[in-house]
Amino acid sequence: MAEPDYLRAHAGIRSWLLTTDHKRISIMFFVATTLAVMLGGAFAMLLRTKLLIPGPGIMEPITYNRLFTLHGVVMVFMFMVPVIPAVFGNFFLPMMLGAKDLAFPRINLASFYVYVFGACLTLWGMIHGGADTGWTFYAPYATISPTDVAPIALGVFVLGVSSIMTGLNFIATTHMLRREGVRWNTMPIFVWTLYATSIIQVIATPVLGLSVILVALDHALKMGMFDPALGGDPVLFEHLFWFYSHPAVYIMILPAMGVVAEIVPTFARKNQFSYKALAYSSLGIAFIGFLTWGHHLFVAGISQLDAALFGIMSMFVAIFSAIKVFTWVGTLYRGSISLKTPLLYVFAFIYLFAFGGMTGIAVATTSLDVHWHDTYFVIAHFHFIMIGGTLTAFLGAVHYWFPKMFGRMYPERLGVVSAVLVFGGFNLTFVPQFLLGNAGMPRRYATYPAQFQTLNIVSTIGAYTLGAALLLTLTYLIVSLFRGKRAPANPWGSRGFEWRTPSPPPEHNFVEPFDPALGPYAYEQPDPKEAA
Amino acid sequence: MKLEVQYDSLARQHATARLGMWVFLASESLLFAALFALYAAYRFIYPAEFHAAAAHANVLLGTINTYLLLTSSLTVALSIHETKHGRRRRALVLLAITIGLGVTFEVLKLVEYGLHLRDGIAPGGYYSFSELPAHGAVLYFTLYYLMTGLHALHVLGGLAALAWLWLRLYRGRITSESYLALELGGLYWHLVDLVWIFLWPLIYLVK
Amino acid sequence: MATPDPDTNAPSAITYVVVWVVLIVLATASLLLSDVVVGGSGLALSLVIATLKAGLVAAFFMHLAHGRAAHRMAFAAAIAFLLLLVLGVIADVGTRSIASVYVDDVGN
Repeated sequence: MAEPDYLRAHAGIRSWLLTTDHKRISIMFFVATTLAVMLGGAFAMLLRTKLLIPGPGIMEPITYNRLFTLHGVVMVFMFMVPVIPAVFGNFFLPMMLGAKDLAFPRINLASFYVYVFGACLTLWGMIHGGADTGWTFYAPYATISPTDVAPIALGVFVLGVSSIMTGLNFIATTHMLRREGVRWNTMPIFVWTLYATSIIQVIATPVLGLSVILVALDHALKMGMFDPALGGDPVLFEHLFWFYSHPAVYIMILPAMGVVAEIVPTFARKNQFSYKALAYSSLGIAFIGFLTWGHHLFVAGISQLDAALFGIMSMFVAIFSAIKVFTWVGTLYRGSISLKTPLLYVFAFIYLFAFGGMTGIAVATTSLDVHWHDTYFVIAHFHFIMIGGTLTAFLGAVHYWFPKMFGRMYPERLGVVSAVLVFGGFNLTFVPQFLLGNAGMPRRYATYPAQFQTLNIVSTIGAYTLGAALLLTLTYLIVSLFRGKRAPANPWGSRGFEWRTPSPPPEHNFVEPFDPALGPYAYEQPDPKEAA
Repeated sequence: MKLEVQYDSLARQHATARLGMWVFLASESLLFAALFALYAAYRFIYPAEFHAAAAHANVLLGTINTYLLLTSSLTVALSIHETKHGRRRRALVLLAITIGLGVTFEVLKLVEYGLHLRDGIAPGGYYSFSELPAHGAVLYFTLYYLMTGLHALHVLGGLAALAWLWLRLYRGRITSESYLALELGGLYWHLVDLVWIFLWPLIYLVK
Repeated sequence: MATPDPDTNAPSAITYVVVWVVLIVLATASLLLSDVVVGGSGLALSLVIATLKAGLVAAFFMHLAHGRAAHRMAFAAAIAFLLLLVLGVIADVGTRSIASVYVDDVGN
């Protein structure tokens, strides 16, 4: 009699809340992060609605300021940073190494509860009125703001602890739980990107942790570390904050790149164009990403020598991203292309990430950034990477791995429709913002000069389209959980290790041990026997 | 310690726990790194005022604390050594000494804080030491409180862990065959010592 | 794995005590020298001695010297990134007076 899958292995709420199964923890993170992105998205819709009309509108400026702060805090710390590692990393890292679980399953469960606690602290701060400082909490305003900065700052700290726990677990697992035959230079690329991400999480997050604690202390107890009246230097806060928050964007994008590296070979039925390029560029991005934080401080008052150094380093990181883009394209070239929803999201990713990345080079040019800093140009740049990059890859991952995780297929035609609407809605929202920013519209303002209204209206229509497309996606996915066609073990014919077991997998991942000698991208070999 | 299902052997499980602890220690070091960076920046901006302020640091108490922590690192290492060789009583004594040295450290810290506060040397906006009102001095003392305070919190956590380990050793749950938890606790304790090794010259030896 | 666990080659009790004696000597030296070598050189000297002490604690008490390579990598990474943060901040603060159009109210 076949072993029940992980969803049915144990019943009852306690078997979920006290689980140590990495797959169940992944599902719990999936629910939590989906709620988070819906909350952050709701804030975004409110912001875009306010921006339909310049001048006083549906809300007070301080309310607007609170909303963009909360939008940023929720999106960055409750969605973008944790989502792909805590959902897909948790589910698939052990399977991709041939392991039965992560190195520290109880720390994994704890990381979920720490996340929930941090989210609750942040939400409590929100209900108390929320901060109006922006998600970046800059001194000196953050220390004197009349709004409730401390609980949100502390919530961010706790969310950071969860992130460190995940990273620590992944590092230990990758080093110590690779099954016989899965080596550093043959393991799936998604593992490489998660490993690089985990190093950033473990090293950079404590610095953020300390800087938000200092903000909370300054706000509550007048510690004065960054207070000019006490001789402090507010720019030092920015140094500490961005020392984490710039590498943080690589925490957000590296796992997304790992997802792309898994989807491309499957739907091109071809081995990676260069495994080494993808593996080493992941480490390269993580390393160089640590050397660039000062580009957020170009106009903050740092020395021009320092600005020049950071500008140069910021250019270098693009080299590794470009290596990845060329490698993915090289894998697709002359492949046997199967145009399914996951691949559509990958195409969107490659285009939007490359485009957004180039605008990153543009703002890394100090003299140009003087003009664009704190305008909508920067907002458009990072949303191209975060939505066009990470969220798009996330959606690709959801559709790619949905059959494996839930044992059901999603409706392919709706998948295509949604993907097109997401792509269209996204572009309609953010391309106008490049134009607005270049024309001088500042960010974080509740109003704007009247001549910018047309582009703002276009952007808002795009936002509503994007929102609707995402709601459509969520709806058909939830329906598919119960009514979708039953999925076979390997609906895409992938060589990946996670496909060599039933959909959904049994509690300990594999019915019988697979032979890793047949690598995860070995399309020149015949399909391994499908698991029963 | 029970073998968990994802491990082939207890040896691998233990080795993984050690690696996990080292990654955790690396992470904790970066928490202090942020404060070291602030210290470096402000000392660079206010060199004379840092020197003047440091003249009021309690070098006696700070140095005694240095010797206490260095010795506690020895005693915890020896405690693990004795456990491994089956000499439980000696291990218990050494671990108790470690805890005692740590508790003394914390008490002396509190005394030091008390002495400063009595003079009006408090962090940030509460500073009222009229003899040395300069900005740089206030920042030196605020950093002093933040750095030694964060460190003292870590010592407290370490003491709690060591006390729990002492009880487990006493009850025979930690043995010469199975003492991983004690090893991990020892590693954490050494980190606390490492941080202080750098804090001490930066706070107390500014001349 | 290639390198053995730190346990198998752990130092003897005598080694631990010898290391402790060296640590006490170094700390005492640092204290006494701090009155003699002052200012920037004093800072440098005290940090060099501190580094030696830290190295001894890490190598012997924490078994870094004869343990796994991965442990040394974790330790090295922590040091490297700590230095990066400190140097990155000093690179700004230290060059404002010579390479900036901004002058703040502390004269830098």
